[in-house]
Amino acid sequence: MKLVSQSLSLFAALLLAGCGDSGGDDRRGERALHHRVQLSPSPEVSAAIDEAPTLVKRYEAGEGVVNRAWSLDDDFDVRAFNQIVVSLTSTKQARAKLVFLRDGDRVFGVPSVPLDRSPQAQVVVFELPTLRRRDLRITEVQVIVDGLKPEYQFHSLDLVSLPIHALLPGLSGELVSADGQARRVIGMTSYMPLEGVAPLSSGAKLTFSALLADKHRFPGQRPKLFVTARDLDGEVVERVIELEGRIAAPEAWAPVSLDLAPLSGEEVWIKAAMEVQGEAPGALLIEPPFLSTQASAAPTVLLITSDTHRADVLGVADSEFEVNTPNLDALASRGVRFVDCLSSTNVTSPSHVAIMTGTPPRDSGIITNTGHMASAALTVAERFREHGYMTFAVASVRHLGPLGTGLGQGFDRIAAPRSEVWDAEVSLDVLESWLPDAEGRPLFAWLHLFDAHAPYGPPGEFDGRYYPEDKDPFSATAHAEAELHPRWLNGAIQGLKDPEFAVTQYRAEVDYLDQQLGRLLNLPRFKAGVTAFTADHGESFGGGGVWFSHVGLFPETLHVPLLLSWPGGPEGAVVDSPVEHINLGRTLLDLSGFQADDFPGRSLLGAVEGEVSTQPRFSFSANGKCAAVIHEGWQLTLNLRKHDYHGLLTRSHHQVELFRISSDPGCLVDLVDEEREQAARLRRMLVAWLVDTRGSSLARSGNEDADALAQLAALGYTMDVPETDDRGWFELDCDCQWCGRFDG
Amino acid sequence: MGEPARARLGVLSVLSLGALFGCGSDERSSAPEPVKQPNIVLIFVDDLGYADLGIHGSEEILTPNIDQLAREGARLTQGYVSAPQCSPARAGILTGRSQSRFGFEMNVPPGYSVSAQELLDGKPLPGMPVSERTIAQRLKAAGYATGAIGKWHLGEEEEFHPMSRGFDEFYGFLRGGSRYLPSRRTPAVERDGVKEVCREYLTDAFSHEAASFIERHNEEPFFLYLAYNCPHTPMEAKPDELKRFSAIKDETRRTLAAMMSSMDQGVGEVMDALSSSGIDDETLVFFISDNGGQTNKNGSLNDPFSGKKGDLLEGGIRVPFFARWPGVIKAGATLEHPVTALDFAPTALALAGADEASGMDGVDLSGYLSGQTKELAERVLYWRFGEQRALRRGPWKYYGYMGEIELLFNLDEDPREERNVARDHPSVFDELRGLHAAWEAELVEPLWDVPMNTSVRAKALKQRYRLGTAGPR
Repeated sequence: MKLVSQSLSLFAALLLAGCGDSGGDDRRGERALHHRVQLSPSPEVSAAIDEAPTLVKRYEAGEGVVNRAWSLDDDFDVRAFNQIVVSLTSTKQARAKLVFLRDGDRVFGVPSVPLDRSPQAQVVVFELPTLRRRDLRITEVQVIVDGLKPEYQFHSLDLVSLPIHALLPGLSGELVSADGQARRVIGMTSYMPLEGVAPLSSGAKLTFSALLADKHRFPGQRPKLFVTARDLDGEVVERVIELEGRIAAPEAWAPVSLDLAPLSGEEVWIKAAMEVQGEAPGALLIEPPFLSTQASAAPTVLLITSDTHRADVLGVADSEFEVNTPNLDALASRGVRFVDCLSSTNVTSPSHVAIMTGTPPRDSGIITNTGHMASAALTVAERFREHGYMTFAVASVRHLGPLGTGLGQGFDRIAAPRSEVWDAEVSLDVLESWLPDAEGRPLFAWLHLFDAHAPYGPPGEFDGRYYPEDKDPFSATAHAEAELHPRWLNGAIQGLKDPEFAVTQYRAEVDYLDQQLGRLLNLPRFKAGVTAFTADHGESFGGGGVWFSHVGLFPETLHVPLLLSWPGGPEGAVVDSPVEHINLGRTLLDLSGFQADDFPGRSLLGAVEGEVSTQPRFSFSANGKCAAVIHEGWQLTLNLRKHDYHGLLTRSHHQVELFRISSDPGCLVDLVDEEREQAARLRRMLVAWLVDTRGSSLARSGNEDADALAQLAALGYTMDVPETDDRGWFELDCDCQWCGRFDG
Repeated sequence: MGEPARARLGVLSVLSLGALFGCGSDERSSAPEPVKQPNIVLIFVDDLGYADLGIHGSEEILTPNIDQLAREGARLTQGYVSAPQCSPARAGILTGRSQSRFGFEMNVPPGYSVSAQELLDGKPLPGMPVSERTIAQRLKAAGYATGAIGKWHLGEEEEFHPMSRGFDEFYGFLRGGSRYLPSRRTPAVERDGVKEVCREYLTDAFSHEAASFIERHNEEPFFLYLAYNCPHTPMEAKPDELKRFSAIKDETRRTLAAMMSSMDQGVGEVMDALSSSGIDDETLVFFISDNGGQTNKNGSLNDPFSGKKGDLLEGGIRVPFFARWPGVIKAGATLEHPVTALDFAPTALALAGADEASGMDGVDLSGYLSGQTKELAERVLYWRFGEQRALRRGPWKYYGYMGEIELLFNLDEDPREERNVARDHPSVFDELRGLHAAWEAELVEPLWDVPMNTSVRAKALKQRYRLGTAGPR
């Protein structure tokens, strides 16, 4: 658990009082009006439930093992166990799967899982929640290790019986995907009703959704969910929901809503119970119930990240790039615009991890779009959630979604496309469809848009709006200057002769996303709340010699828009001081009235109040190819290894580049030979920053599931957590030619 | 840009599907439960010989998992594909339309290229025309998660890529064939458009990816197109598997047995993913081969049929054809009405409650599979493949080659197509010939010319059926 001290004590007090998380106290110390009801098993029930796993049978190596099969000496009913734990050593690349047989016939199997390649013994756990619905007897279990040249040794095989709830998400919740969106749910069973107490206020409503997961369904049960809310006078509001999984409701997520208006008094007691037909226990996944009232003092917080959005392509930026962005302009005029904001990197997932955790890619270790954030990371969303906020995320690319980077952490709900990308219209539709569920409750919403990202293909009326109708950008006569290398012209702009066309299409995409954002930004609850608009990185239109791409660290790829408005904040203010959007998370917490001293970063409010930073700013590129320091009108880039940009513009190992970006923002003239002292000074600064990598990586490795680890410990298994690789990004004693020039 | 996920179909249409099937699985309570949109898995294998499955009687090629799939469902004993070759058969099954209707009649010939000027002149790009809407596009619009794993072979340009044709995810290769054993640069595959090198036996990788797709999408309706390239050439098997079949003397056939064994275990793993996820009674699985065995290359056998891949004789187009859906399709059922892979798309659409199957050549088999409909209406199946023509109606099969050789078979009496009975049944012959000519008038010209050595085939046919040089019959 990663709770701040203040909320930890609050949390503990509430748990002692048998009451749930009642975060959402706002900074003025008013009475909390909104709750995620913390449910826990009814005390009388939980006392009677045996939590411990039962070891049904253990087989040791050599015992009954024939080839790669364990032959059971018994006739086993598969309902006697629901987990199999295998201990083995595998030194070659291989996978392991399970097959059950009866008298030689295969009757059930479990797909393979990859094994670690290690000389150490490893433990492989197969969870088998669906076995309980099988009327099957088996006489043999086969553990099949398969690979091209597998080398392995078996140590033991355990048949384990766990109580059903142990196979469900715990009370701290887990994201579960259904219907293309993930929601944070807790598990409940028919033998363990859940209950909790929450403060009651007038106009309160209880809302959540339930999922009858396929894996946990039991045939013929016709499950019913009873939700009861009772006040101290004994007044009761009840709702019964018949659940058929995907069968009855067209959507998998069954909505549940209770109007608590008939109740009175200070507190409400909530109970959720499940009833099923037949003897077998039923299992269900539910969102922790949200208790909302009409009046919440905590501000709605909206974070919009527009992918690949340059700082200067914004109406209020008043740059050479004309656009029509009335909605973002209005946001700027009711808040603050930071004109000099830098991103920590030039790639989507790492940049978002940086915004969400306040941890730069140098330290997070997440430097590509496929890196997966570990659950140990602390995110802004988690922090809002601890304060009683509902947390919604809609990402417009797959790799930011539940199947991707792990940014769903801390969110109650996260949706992303199953493939490809969503236009702003689709993403906004999803977010809007969720808003009624958050009515009256404090909300932190993160919306990621992908429209400005290549390929630039603005829809409908926006297509071609900034390009002369009578001109053909693909015709040889369209452009007089030297041709762009075809490698810069991918996808829809292949064969383009006039680069201006791509720029105009990019501008039109920005117009489109602004038009769509109007739907959200003009809603009263967002207008009255805290709203931030920024980008994960920019896009090069020739900067550094790079076109229509964001490879490389250049002002064009690092300079991002940042608009921030909050209740009572300055209107139409412009901040010139250099800032970094990695500090945004902390700032949002700050503006929402929450103590965030332990959250990484520095609040941007200092800059708003007139502080002018003279600190250098650093950035770290995708795949760790290069790093840069930006200071006092200079940028120095240190290439951490040999690489190139789209097969062009090769950079050598530890090559240093120096640009006077105050007068050469396009980084076209490398001054490393002319300005030796400046280069040496900045390089020292950057090297010191690179070797000062702090903390452990946030990237995921090994088994993440704490419940599973605890349960394995109960069976006598200890799991070695692999050491994280803390190798630095730069070797100080390097004797290459470039390093020799500076260190020699 | 992305196609938005549409709302699932309303409760009413789901209920009507429930009424169609009128039953849940046998483990459910007696009261009928409505059926939701089923998951659909299409396992489409490559150049599998009709005789090369345990359930079809092979004692050399061991396929316990595929046999079990077949036994737990229905065997469609007169199942056809719409072409005797990879690409057109794939175009047919994924569109529900005879590929000859849109010119994708044959594989793109080697060396086919289109220059910029030729493109302007209207020469077609080498891929399945984008005017055709795939079953993946249709199911995706109906709310399904869609995945393609394995061999694509319907075009390599971006517009023909699986992810441009309705698939959310793709793991596999775009061409017609691939190495199986990992070495430094092969097998070259791609995952969602990003190239990578497969580090395990390719067939195993496809099975693992398929199981993973099922596990990731088990809480939503999904369509998985699992197109193993096994047992297409090159003949490469895992050493461990080869050892198991050392009793088979012929090296090619031994390798075939070992390759088939890996695929069979993979099919087992895919079925395991369904059952261990608790969705096997909500999932319709089809197992079909894309054409008959290429007996001269991969050691396969098409007995009891004659002909091979590339022929419109039964050996080229009659394929293993199984459908499994526990609780809906009766285990062990044998369905003998002629069906075709073109029926797959209309069947899937009906079950998904998706848009109409208009313009398709296949028919909805859902009632036939579930036993609700005992008999299908008599139907005529048509083929054109280059210079070959074929038609099936009832027991009769018409076969034509270059307008020069025309044959009639009675498949009930002569499944091996050894006796030309055109002279004995002139009125049947004339009628079928006329039907084929009428159908052919609806077709377009093939998109590309494929050079063929026609004289060899003509000579072989003449010898086999003892035809003089005097002309037809």
